[in-house]
This record gives sequence, structure tokens and C-alpha cells, in this order.
Amino acid sequence: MGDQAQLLPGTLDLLILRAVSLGPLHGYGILLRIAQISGQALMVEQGALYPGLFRLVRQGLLKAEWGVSEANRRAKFYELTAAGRKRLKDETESWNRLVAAIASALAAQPGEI
Amino acid sequence: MRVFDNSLWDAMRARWSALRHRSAMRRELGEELHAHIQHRADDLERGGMSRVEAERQARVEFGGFEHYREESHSAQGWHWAEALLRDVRFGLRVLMKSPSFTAAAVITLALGIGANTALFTLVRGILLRPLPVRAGHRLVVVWDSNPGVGLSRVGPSGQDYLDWKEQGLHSFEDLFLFEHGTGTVTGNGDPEQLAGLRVTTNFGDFFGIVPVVGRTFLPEEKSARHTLAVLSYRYWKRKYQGNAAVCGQSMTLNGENYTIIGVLPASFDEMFPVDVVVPFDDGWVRRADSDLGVLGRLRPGVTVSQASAEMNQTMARVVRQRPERKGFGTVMVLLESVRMEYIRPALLVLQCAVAFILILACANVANLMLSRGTSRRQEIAVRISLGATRKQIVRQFLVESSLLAMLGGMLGLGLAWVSMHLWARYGPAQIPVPNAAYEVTLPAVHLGGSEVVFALVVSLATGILFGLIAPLRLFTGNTQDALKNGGRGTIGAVRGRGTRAVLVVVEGALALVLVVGASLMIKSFSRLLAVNPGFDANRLLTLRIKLSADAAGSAYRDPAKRAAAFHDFLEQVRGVPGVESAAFTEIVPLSQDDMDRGPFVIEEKPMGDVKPSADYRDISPGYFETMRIPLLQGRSLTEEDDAQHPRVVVIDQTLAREYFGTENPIGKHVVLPYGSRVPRMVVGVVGAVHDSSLSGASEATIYFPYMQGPNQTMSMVVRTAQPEDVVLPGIRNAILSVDRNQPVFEERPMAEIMGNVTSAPRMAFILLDVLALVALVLAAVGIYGVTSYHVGQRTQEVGVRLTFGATPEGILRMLVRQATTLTLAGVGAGLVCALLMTRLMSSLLYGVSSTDPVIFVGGAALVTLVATIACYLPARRAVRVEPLAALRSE
Repeated sequence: MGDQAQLLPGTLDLLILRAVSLGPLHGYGILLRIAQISGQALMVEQGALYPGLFRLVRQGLLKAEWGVSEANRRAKFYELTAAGRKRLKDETESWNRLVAAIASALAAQPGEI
Repeated sequence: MRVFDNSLWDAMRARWSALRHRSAMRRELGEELHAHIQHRADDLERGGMSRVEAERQARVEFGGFEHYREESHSAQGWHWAEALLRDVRFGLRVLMKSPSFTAAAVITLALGIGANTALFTLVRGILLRPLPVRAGHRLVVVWDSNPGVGLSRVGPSGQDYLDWKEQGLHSFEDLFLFEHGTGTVTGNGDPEQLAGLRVTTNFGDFFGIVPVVGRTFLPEEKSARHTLAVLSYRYWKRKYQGNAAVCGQSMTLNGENYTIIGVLPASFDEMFPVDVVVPFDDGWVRRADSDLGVLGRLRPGVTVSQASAEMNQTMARVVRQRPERKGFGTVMVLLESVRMEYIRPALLVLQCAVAFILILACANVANLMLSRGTSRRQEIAVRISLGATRKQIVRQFLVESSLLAMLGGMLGLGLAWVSMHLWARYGPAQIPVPNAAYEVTLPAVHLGGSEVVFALVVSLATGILFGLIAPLRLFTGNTQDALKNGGRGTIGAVRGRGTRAVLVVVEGALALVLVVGASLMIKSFSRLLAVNPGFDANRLLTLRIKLSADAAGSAYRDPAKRAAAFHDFLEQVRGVPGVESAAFTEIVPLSQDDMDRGPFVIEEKPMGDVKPSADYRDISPGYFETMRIPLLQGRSLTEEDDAQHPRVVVIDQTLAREYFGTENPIGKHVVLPYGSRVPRMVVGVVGAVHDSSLSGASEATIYFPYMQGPNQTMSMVVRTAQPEDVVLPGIRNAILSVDRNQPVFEERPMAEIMGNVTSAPRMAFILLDVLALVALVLAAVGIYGVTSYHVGQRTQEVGVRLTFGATPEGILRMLVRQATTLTLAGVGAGLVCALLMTRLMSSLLYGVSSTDPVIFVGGAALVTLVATIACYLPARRAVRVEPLAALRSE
């Protein structure tokens, strides 16, 4: 786990939702998926993942079920709920808007003001 | 929308399961985190580490295990429940630390909640309970009325019922005719007098009865009058021990054989407290005289006034066929309201009273909380500066006050439970229906689930209500000031003053309203008890005897035989030791038995438009002497006044005054237009008697000698030298010695009958007095609390004044005057409220106006006095301290 970007506050939830949207995962799997889909650029501190996960479950965005992992261990698998899917869509859109806005702001040249 | 529903549902489920499986959730959480570390270790192991090294590394990478576990735990929604638990524990500790405050608050609340729950139980059990029959809310009682001759509610006759049926009334689904009666059961143990009900054969269908055993009558069994009987549940249990094989057995009733075909459900006992039900036949209905009962079941959506209107048109048609019914109309009232006419005003007044008590209790507790909140200002300021949020502080206050309220609620439920037992023991079991010669058996009331819920809701509501007062007050000030002030509360005292002033005014006002109401009841009740009923109720026993003339073979079908038997009963009873005198009357005064009223004509004196009417009474010689009704003029009735002698009557003072005026009635003749029209000579005038109620005026009455036309059933009145129950067995034996088959029934001392008549005012009287006392105590405690707190806050000021030479008396006067001003404002408000509220009571009052000035002034004086004492005590304590000690007191 090499060079990592700093995780912006509030983005962990979005990352978790995105990771889980690709298929049910257990906690460690979510971490690996986040690393994988961000091209190893984003790494979440491992323990910090769980409070976030439980918050999402409590908000009804994720649902969890015990199962057996590929390593043959008992693990809890997370999956998006309908509300979670909707939240992911909304958050993705607003994130994209934000990124576009920030990018355009940063790209602005003195003459354009 | 579905998305929202699902997420809400999931969130709720997560929270709920979190609550339910607290420790399991903790374990599971640990397991999940461990699984994570193991997965990571697996990967590291694959990367070439040893297992031990890999697990160590995985643990390090994971970060603070305990930290994240706790954080995850609270993220699961745990912090909320745990914080509540913490608050509850803290609240309990706080409450236990000041036991006198807690006890005062809890007891005060318990009084308020207990009284309200008890009365709610009564009102629900008596007023709000639906009748235990099908469509009970659509049943109406139909009476004949004839305002022209002073008949407001008389039972219709059988012919009336048949007429109505024939006319096909559209407002009703069905009409039902019944008659209360008694029957003698023989051949199954001792002879026994049963309460019976004779009914039309639509009985079962009309009430939607589902018999517990067997069946009810079929509509076509109209000629089964002497053959079929249905038992009531209570009689079936008592006599047949609830044996289901009772159907098909026969029973001998009034010397005739009946086949038992079914048993009514237990709930029906409350509707008609009888033992046996037998059907009418059409022939009987046609002959049956008035004083029957008619119930109608309205069609859904038809109002009573619509039905009345249709009935009046019908009566107009009936009069064309039966001219003798001219002048008669009908009166219709919903059965549900008729049953409770008598007791409703008392219950409603009591309900207002207990609501006041609850408000008083809440005011007191709010005041207690407020004072405490102010003294806890520093604690709260410290907590806020240490980072507690306002939300947390408010929650803490809410938890504390809810705890108080719940404790009060539980104690209140206990109080309500005790009250219900007292009610069952001392409350009236039966209540009369005014002007209807009918009594209702009050259902037994119990504390049930909804009463517990009621107490719970009231507790929580009051808890939240006064729990919010204190913190809201606190947050309106700057908490920094409180901290700087060292919690002296001087600012709080100034702030709280407005609220406290309102509390004192409200308490004084409410207490005064209750005191005035209770005083009115006391005066009214003593007036009622002081009413001279017109006879002497002391050591007077009443009982009934029925000589059944129904059975075809009965010897008593001959009136002469009945007269002879009644004569023999009297002879025997008069010989019993302990009996001073005995006599028969058709109706015992105040017993609410069937009223016998009717018109009469004075032969010598045509009245024109005035249609005189009077109560008719058949009595035996010796009746006036036994009852100690004074003979005012002429002579009493004697043994000579029998069928072989000229018809004579005795009239009462009311009749003499109303219809003879200053003329001498002796020797004049009265004629009953609906009877045999034989002129009967007035031979005497006796004192007036209260026949139907103590509070009403006594009715004009004509007494007939019973030997000139004896009834089947007579009531015996016996004046005894010893207590009634001592003499009763001898009397019973004396009657049985004349005829073995004659049961004696309804043996009641006159005092008991009088007690029944005064039951509702007595109930309101006792309860209202208790409530007023409670209110006065609560108000005194509340005012005392406010004043002592207020004075306590000013100890320093008092010290300063004393140091500068003010006299203790002067300061005392000042303090008391300031506190009393508020009370006087409360008394003023209370007087206005009482003027408005006591009108509600006017139907309960007798012989006293609902705005009796003496009572209003007296009540105001009492409340002012109590309040002044409550102000004086703490003020005196304040001025007794040494000036220097007072100055140093902070």
C-alpha cells in the first residue's frame, strides 16, 4: 500500500457506497475494493472503516448479513439498500458538480477574472 | 416514496434490533473486527510473512482496536439508549439525594393522577360503556306521556304497543315489549320469589342474544306463555350450578309447569337483573294495562327527534280509533342516556373537580422543579461550561421529571385501585331512573388496561410538561452570570418570580372553586337530609308478599280470598315479639316501585280546564299509624272499610291544599274517570309524604282501603321495637304460618331505601369534600413552598433591613403582605371561576342556590386564611434569624 491521497472529510461514505454497489462485500473486501477502484490511490485507515459502515447501516443505506468469505472465514457482508442506491446516485452527481466547479476555479487564469 | 419507507423501516429495524440484542451486538461487533484482521493477516501471510508476524502486523495496521470498537458501537445507535440509561441512573441518584423534594412531588402527583384515573375508570365503566346488547346505542325507551294530567313518563299499555306495531313505524327496525314481575318457584327446594321478565317473542332477535345454552323464544311461540322459560345466567349459576343439561327440564312457576329452553349470557344480567324470562301471548298483551316497558331499535341514521315526530303523527291516528287516548303522546329517550340520567351530573362535576386537582398537583410540582432548577443553576452552568449541550441538559431535566411523574403515576394507580375497592364497597349498586319507576344496576367497574394506559399517558404528559418549564427558564438567562454569581440565584429569583406569581394565583383560584363547590354540596346535602319525608323512617321494616293469581287453579284469583290472606298475615305479624305495629301498602314511599298515578274528578267541584291527578295508593288500616303519618282531619281507614261498605278514601294535605283550597274536603267525593266511576267519599286528610324523591315536591295522593279491591302484591311496613334484622326471622315465620307457599321478598329497612334515594348526592358530597380538602392542602403546600422559597432568597435583604433598624414585625408584615396580594388575586379569579362553574352543579343541589353568597364569601375567607398562614410561617422564620447571620448566609 504505497503512496496515498489524503481522504477528504465526508468522502468515506461515498467510497463505501460505491464499493458495495459493485457487489456484496465484507469489511476487509470493501477496503480492498476501494484501493482497487481508486488505482491504489485511496487507502482508508482500516479501523476507521467500521464506524462509517455502521452509521450507513443505521441510516438504512446498507444492509448486512453474516456469510462465509472466500478465505472460508465467517464475515459480515454488506449490500446496498434501495435508499443506499439512491443516495449513491445523488452523492455522485453532487460530487461531480463539486469537482467540476473546483477544477474550473483552479484552472481560472488571471485574465479571465 | 417506497424508497423512503424502506430506508425508514430499515433504520428503525436496525435501532430496534440494536436495543434488543445489546450484548449480542457487542459480541458480534468484536467478531466482525477480528474477521477483518484475520483476512488481512491471510493476505500478509500470502505475501511471505509467518502467521504470527502477519497477525501482529494486521493488528497494527488496523489501528486502535478498542477505540474503533467503541466508535462502531456508538455508530450502531447505541449511544442513544445508553445515554438514556445513564440519564435515568443519574436522575434516580439526584432524586434520592433530596428525598423530601422527591416525596413531596411524587405524593402530589399521585394524588392528581390517582384521582383522575379513578374517576376515568368510573366514567368509562359507567357512562361510556356500551350496553351489552346488539345495537345498544340505537335503543330508545318509549313512554306514554300526558302533560295535561301531569304524567311525564308512564309505561305504555299492551294496546299501545299493538297499535304502534300495526301502524308500521318506519323509524324503528323493531319494537320490544316487556314487563317486570315476580313469580313463585315451588317444587325445587324452598319456595322462592323470582324476579321475572315477560317479553314479546322477538326478545332474542331484538337484543341479538346468543344464549350460553339452548335457545331463546321463536317469534311464532306467542302462545307459549305458560310453557316456555329462559333462565338468566345468575339464576342458572345459583340454582342449577351452571349445569348445561338444564334445557328440557321443567320448573313450577306460580303453580304452572314451564320447560326451560335456554340460558341467557352473563352480560344480559346487567341489562335486566332478573332470574327468569317468559313470553307474552297476544291475548295477554291486548289485556295488559299500562306500566309496561317498550323499547325500540331505531333504524341506523334515524335520530330520536325524527322517531318522536313520526310517533306523534302515529299517536294522532291512534287517537281517532281510540278516543280515550286523547291527550296522550310519547316521550322517547335513548336507553343509554336514560340509564345514567341520575348519576351523570354527579360524575361530570366530579370530573371537573379531579381535573382541577391534577392542575393543582402539576402547578405544585412545576413550582418545586422551578425552585430546584434555580438552585441547581450553578451545577448546570458548570456542566455547560464543561461541554454539555443544551439538548443534554434538557434531556436530563425531562428524564428527571418523567421519573417523578412515573413514580407518581404508579402510586396514583395504587390510589385509584384502592378507590375502586372503596367504590365497590360503599358506592351505590343501583341507581334510580328519575320519573320512570325503574332502577339500573350499576356495572362493576375495574381498573383495566385502558385505565393503566390512561394513567401512564397522564403521567408522561405531566412529566414532559413541567419537566420543560425549569430548563426553559434557565436558558433564557446567561449561564455565565449564574457561574459568576456562585449560584446564589438572585437572578433566577427575579426571573422565576413571574412564573411563581402565576402559580400562586392559579392555586388559590382552583382551591377556591373546589372549596365553594364542596361547601355547596355540604349545605345541599344537609338540607336534603333535613327534609321531613312525611313519615318516620326509624326502625321501619318493609317487605313484599305476592299472592299469585296467575295460575288457573290458584285460590287467590278470588279477591275476597286475597283480602282474607292479607288480613291473616297482618294478624300473625302483629303478634310477633318486637313488632309494634304492621300494615300493608301497595307502594312503599321512596322505593321507586311502579308509580300508580292517574286523574280524578271531584264530584262536587267541576274544575273546567284543570285536570287534577294524583298518586293512587291502596293501604291497609293501621298504615298511617305504623308510618307515623299524622292524621290532620277526619278519620283514618278502618277494618270496616271493606268491600261490603261504602267506598271511602283518605287524601293527603297536598291534594287538599291544591284542589280544595280553604274548603273542607271531608264528605266530598272523588271519582276516577278510568275506573269503575264509583264516587268515593273523602273521610280524612293526612300529612303529605315524599313519595318519589326527597328533593321534589310531594305529589297529591289518594289513599284507598285495600280491602275494597286487593292487589296480588302488597308491601308490608312493620314498625319494630328492636333492630329490624332481629325481628325479621319472626316476621317471616309468621307469614309462612299462614301460607307455606308464600315467599317473603325484598326485605329492606326503610333507612336503606332512603339511602338509595340520596345515593348520588351523597356520592358527590363525600367525594367532592375529599377532593376539596385535597385541593386546599395542595394549594396551601404550594403557596407555602413558593413563599418560603421566595423569602429564603431574600434572607440577605432581611438582614440588611434589620441591621438598618427595621423592626422584625414591620418586615414580617411586608413579606406577608406581598405574598398575600398574590393570593387575593387568586381568590378573586377563583370567585369568578366558581360563579361560572357552580352552575354545572345546580342539578345536584337542593335547597341552596349555586351562587349562595354566604358560601362564596366563606370559601374566599377560608382560602385567604389558609394562604396567609402558608405565607406567614416561612416569613416568621425569616425575620427570626440574627441580622449578622442573615448577612453571612450566602
